Amino acid sequence: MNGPAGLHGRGPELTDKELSAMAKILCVPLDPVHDVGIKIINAELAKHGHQTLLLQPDLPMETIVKRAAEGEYDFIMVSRTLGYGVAELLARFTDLLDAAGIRERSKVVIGGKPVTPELAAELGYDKGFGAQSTIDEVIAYVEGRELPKEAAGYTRTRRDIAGKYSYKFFDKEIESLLDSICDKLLAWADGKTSPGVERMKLRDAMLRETNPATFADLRARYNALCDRTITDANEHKILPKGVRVVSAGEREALATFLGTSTPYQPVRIQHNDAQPVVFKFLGSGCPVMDITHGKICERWGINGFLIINPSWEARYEGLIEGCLTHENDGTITSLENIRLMRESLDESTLLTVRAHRGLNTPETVLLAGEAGANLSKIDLVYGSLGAGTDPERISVDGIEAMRLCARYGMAFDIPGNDELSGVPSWKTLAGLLINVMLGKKLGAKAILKPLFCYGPHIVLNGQMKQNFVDYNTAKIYALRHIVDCPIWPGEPIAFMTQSEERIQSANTTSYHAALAATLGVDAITIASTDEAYSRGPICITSRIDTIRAVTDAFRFMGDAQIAPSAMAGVYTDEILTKIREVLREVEAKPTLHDAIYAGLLGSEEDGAYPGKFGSGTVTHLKE
Amino acid sequence: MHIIGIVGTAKNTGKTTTLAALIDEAGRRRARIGVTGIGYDGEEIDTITGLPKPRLMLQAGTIVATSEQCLLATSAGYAVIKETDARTALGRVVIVEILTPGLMVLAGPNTKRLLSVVLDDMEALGLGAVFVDGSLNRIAAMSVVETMVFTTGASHSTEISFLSEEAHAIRGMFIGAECAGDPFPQRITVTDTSGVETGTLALRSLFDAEDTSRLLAVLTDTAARIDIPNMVTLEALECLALHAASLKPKGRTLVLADPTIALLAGEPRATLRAMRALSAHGFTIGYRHSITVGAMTVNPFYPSQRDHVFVPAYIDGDTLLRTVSGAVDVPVFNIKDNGAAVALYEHLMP
Repeated sequence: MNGPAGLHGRGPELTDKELSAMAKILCVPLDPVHDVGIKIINAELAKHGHQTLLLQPDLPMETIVKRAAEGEYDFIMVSRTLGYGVAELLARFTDLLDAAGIRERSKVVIGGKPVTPELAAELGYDKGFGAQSTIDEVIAYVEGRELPKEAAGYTRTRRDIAGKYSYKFFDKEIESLLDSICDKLLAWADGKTSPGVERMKLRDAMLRETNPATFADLRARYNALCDRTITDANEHKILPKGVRVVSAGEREALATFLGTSTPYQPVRIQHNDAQPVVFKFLGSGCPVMDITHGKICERWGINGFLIINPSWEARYEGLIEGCLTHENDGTITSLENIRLMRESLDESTLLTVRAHRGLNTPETVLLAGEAGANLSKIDLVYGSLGAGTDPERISVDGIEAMRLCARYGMAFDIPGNDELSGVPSWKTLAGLLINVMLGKKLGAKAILKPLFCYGPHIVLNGQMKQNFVDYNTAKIYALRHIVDCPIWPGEPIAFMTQSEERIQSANTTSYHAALAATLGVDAITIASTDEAYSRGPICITSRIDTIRAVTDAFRFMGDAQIAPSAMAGVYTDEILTKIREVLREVEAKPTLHDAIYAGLLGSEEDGAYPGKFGSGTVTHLKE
Repeated sequence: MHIIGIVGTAKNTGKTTTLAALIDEAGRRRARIGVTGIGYDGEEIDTITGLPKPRLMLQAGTIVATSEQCLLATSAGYAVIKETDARTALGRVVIVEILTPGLMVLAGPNTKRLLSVVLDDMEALGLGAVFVDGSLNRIAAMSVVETMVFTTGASHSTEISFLSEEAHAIRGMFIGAECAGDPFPQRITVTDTSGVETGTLALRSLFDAEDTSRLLAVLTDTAARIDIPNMVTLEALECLALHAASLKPKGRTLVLADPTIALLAGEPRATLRAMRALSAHGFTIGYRHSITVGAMTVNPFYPSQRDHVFVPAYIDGDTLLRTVSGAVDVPVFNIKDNGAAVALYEHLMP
């Protein structure tokens, strides 16, 4: 209905007090053609009871100024698409309003996709609303209200991925098999230790020791369990080739960056709360670069990061101390590095530290817990078959690491990336389930991480010949049939479907994210668009590519569903049957590592080889 | 306090470079100055073209008025002197003193009233001079300054003849008699030679062609001075000029608020033509607040759009400087030339 003076909005039925609280707004499409945005704003403002007048597009500025002066408006809202030369035009408009005395009573507001607060200031406007602005923000501004932080996109909350799950097994046969496999493993491991476990205990004591003499003794015992490269670094400051301490200048530059880069208006990736949280990898080799990328990704809404350690680190007994950087893949695992990342990232951001790769699994979880990380990454099977650690060693170390997860209240994720070597999905999923049951017995909460992408075995056997939906769906269906446990497909999603072409790569990530969302999983890990092809450090724009693509995919899907074909059911049944077969065979072996050596969870024919690092280092605890 | 505004004919014409040169020169001479701006300037990357921009390095002792959010990004050490009531899209305008040198982004008051208030606050600090950074082609807020430095260049047009003609027109618009008058007039007034009011018109937002007819209706033979305190359109000036030929007696004065009103009227060359036509028919143009054009600077750089991205491009700098210098009676500099910054500073602050 029309209000006073032909204005749009509620009017006659309001009291004088209500009328005085209403804002009077002139909406100006200062554009030859485009006026859709300002029409929407106009309608919403009217809906909220404000008196608005929407002018037609392409009026001469002098005419608009006269109309603005006649109406005595509280706000003049301008929308305009931007191109070179348009800035001067928009600036002239504020000039005319100022010269005509209209700015004495009217706030002048600019809206448009590329508008930022900085651009609004440059053009001389009192406020700017851009692509990330919401209608609620515009209404709140007009009404002089502070928008609640969440509504303004300010509040990021940390999601407890594992919190709502009971870890109850629905498939009783599988539960019984896992029970037996894990009991035998724990019985075997009872009374055994490794240099990794012992170092963790010493580090734990060192972290709390205040007596210098006792500390020195602990340090000496720790050093005795380390490789020479590590003791050279920790005792004599002779760092491995390419490794150096992060300089004071770099720390200072980071502090300046952190002081000025507060994400004052972070974007939300999820369109609704049911959609999965989104993780990215960090592991450039340099904690300062990791944090810089991390802060930018936070601004674009990323919910968590996985710190990936260097492959060389995994081969040494012992960890180097200090805030360290190197020009190589993977960021060095140290208390200082993890702590710097944890303290630099937003409190709401989840931080996962990979632990299962190599000879320092328990100590890595200890440092992660001490530094305030939220999650760790442990997989006894993949740690051996894909990450090169001796099966017995990773069994002893992994069990201790899971106990530490329980101590620090950290859930741990179990990556199913052995499938990427060519291992069939059912063997990989069987391995994941063994870890879930083991974690349950040790008081730690596991997160299933089935591969959610193309894989060699799938390529060879044609399960994704028709589409990428059915088989990925089947894995989730199968796991849901078995256990009430969080699922975090990865790692990253869409791996092997991406190409060097950035748009294609972002697209395929977004399709997999849409499918993951429709399946109601808890989290996903996404790559950057140059992850597989960067030929060096990943660039930040490529990280944002996939974040933006996933954000749009989540918006596109909302609460709708992708319907898989009937083959998803066929594949689910096949996977379930084969998981049972694998677990029966594993259960028949004396221990988990016997099953691994026998290729039951991934054979040489599949492309999986039991690791050698730490072979022969498991010993019996001294009485 | 000497208030100097750096005003551009368009974006990328060299305002920031000129301001940065003046600030550096002031720093070199240890002159205590103030700096503010009516837009957003000093950022690393241009908000529109994405091209690198000159930065503003401020020395200790400089007084700056900028928005709160800009202070978050400064590398300079500073102490807050006053939180003003002025607000911009980047928060409240705050006056600070620079304690340790560093880079600063400027986003000061965005209207003439707010600029005037902030300049009063800065004047109270006993500064010798304040530089007011312009923004794009904005001019209205600059009506409160005493001296302007105009920047023009290839970003506005790559046609040197156009730039020199426009520079000539801009310069010409600032030439006018200084006419004292009511600082806060509420009407358009017509007075005789004794200062007695012979006619008035209600003040509207713009004085346009329609208002010219109303004015002519109250313009008696005794009318000697017409005071138009509000914004005037080019059409109004042209309409008045058209009728001026038949108006008698001659020798009247048309008083506008200040030269920025003439600049805002319309395309500068057309506005100057209308003003000269008025002069030719016996009108003297006068301003209640005069502003001096201290100098002009020229910039041969322009952002050229290729394949949807902007890349730096240049026209011939020497020809540009020579041609514009020939068109105006004020000093013209290419601020990047050796010695230009020193010469400009000494010219403005003798």
